[in-house]
Amino acid sequence: MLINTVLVLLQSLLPIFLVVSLLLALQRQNLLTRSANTGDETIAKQTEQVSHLDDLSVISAAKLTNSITLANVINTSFFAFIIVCLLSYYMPSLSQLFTGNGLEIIFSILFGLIYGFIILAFLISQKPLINRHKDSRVTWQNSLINIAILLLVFSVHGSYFSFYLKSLTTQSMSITPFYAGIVMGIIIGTGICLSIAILLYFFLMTVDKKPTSKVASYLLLLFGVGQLMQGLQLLEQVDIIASNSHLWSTSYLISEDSELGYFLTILFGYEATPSAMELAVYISAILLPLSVGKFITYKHHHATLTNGTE
Amino acid sequence: MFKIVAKISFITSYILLFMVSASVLAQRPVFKLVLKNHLFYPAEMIIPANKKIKLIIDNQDDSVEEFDSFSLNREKVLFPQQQAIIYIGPLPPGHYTFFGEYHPNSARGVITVSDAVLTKSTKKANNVN
Repeated sequence: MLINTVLVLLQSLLPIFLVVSLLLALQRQNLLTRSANTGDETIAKQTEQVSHLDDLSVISAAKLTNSITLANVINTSFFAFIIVCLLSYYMPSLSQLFTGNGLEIIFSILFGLIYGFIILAFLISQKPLINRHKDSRVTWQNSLINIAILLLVFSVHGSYFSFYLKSLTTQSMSITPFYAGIVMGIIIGTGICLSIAILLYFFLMTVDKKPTSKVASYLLLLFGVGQLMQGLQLLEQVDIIASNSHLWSTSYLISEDSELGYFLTILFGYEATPSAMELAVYISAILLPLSVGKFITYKHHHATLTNGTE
Repeated sequence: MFKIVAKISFITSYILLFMVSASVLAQRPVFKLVLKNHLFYPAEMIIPANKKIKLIIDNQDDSVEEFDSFSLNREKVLFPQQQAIIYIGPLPPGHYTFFGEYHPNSARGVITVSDAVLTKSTKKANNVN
């Protein structure tokens, strides 16, 4: 019971912890770039504080940013918790929709939405900063997009874990060891998730030291593509989208059911046995926002040059 | 920027439309798996290679289970006293393990994908529908 709870928790809740970490790192990066562009000493000081406080928790670091504050995380988690409860309660009824394919269709739409909002967050982070921070409306939009990502990831992944807990409580077992196993599993699993999230955040903080560095935004994009692939696999599962034979298998190198496999699957949608269609979608899902991002940057530079010569 | 995103969504929806399986209405070989007392019956199933099949999983238990397989890339919640349908393949010959995520110690099985002619048991399963 203990190991199984830890595994289910890792599978369900690690994406939530990772997305919080990635969004916080992205916010910090935006703050750093903003200070470099505007020469704002207060912001630079705040960013400096975040960079040097090794013992600072992820949540405390968020207090310094504009978009994701501790209050935002708590409020979003509260709403997400209600959605999770509703989803897990209505799961049996939802599964009966669309001739038994209800859950797959609904969840693939939600995965698609996560990817859509992550693209928006990515494109905003690629937008030239002088424009972005002069326009408070964009900052407000950015804030809403981040909250939407958090809410969706929490709802989708949290509902599976909530359903697992709900299913366990319906079984007739000896109460004391049963609940002790679950509680211990939740504590250990949460500890592992939190450790990975903090390590990722500090890794990004170390890598993203330059204002021009955008590792956090690229990792967030890869996370979004991973979510899209999960949605795609759900549609393949119910034969809505055609699936082809596997192109290769890297199971002997990194198995999907290994610890590293779990982590990589969640982080960037690692797939040991991809099909041609999955590979095509994966590459397109990365290249499309990258091209749009480059186009936006090019357009801005072109406009700046034209204005300068005039 | 939102106009660009709208255009991308439009193009993506067209791509997805092309990807939608034209064979949604096509008949697939049907196989049946039963979950009883947290055990899968049959624990080993033979299916044809390079062919997409329809797998009906009948959960006869009073508790929820989740059919999970990393090698098959499949994950499906099985509600008590309900049938669930998933599609598998086309797969190359080999052994593909699956398990019940909520009872991984007891609910385990393997799908053997074989080039050989359909066995008697699978033929029988084909007549389920």
